[in-house]
Amino acid sequence: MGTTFCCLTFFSSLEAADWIALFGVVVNSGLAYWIVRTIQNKLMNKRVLKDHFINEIKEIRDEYKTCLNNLYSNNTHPQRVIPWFKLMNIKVDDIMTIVHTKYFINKDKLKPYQIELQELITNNEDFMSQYNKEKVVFSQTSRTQLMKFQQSHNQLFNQIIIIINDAE
Amino acid sequence: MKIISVLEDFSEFPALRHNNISDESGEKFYHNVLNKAFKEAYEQSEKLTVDLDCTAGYASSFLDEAFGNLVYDFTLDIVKSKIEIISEQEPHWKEMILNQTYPQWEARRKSKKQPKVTTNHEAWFRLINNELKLEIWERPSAV
Repeated sequence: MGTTFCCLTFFSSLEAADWIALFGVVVNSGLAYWIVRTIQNKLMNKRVLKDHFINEIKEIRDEYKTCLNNLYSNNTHPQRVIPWFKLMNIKVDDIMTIVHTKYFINKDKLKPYQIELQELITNNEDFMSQYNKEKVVFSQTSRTQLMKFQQSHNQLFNQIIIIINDAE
Repeated sequence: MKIISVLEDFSEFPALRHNNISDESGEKFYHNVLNKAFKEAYEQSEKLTVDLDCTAGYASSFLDEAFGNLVYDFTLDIVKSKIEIISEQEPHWKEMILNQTYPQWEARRKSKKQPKVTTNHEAWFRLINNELKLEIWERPSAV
């Protein structure tokens, strides 16, 4: 009762200028709240999207890694290699098209994995001579070639992750 | 326009370059499908569309052997003007054929370095002085 009376007395004593100032304060507070929420949501959305694409790139890196490990351990059916590369190529094209549009990353960044690696394997003497066998056994020379490829191109995935992470 | 599809006219699982290392090879595709289809399109002054999509994938050697032999037998200018390649799923194969296979095999044709066949084939068409000739142009070398 006392509080209500006090408020009524306060508001009735306000002049036009005070009302305008009060209105300004209310509008500014609302605006500030809206701006903070919107920016926060936008930042949050950006981060979620970045994390999603980073995970996709990591998955692709892991799939190539598994493929190479299977080759090193002579655990690969040669006739499954070409279909596997086709699926990977479609997957990589798909993700690279999106990250190119979103983060301006060169679409061809993973081309060495899509083309060079496939050629390195399918044109390899061991692979060709054992194409009709259950498993392909690579010589030490072939393994060294594959390892060299992996060593010189492995950083491509990290480069993409860094660009996505650092994007505005 | 004549259209051939690797999936429908050849195999879902194209393999490697030569017949002696894999069954569904580029060599086999060329001799069983592509050479005849291109000859028909050439005779009827039509374009030949080759659809590479919807198979289980390619080795570069398969495509190089198939389209390379075509350039060797019909010359680069004629192949370029008469053929359309569709490769929506893996566009880099079309790029490879146009930018690597075609010029390399045209150079090979000019230097008369014969293509290699690894099994016997029926006679196939080759353009000699603007005239189509049907012959067995090469035989597998005895090793």
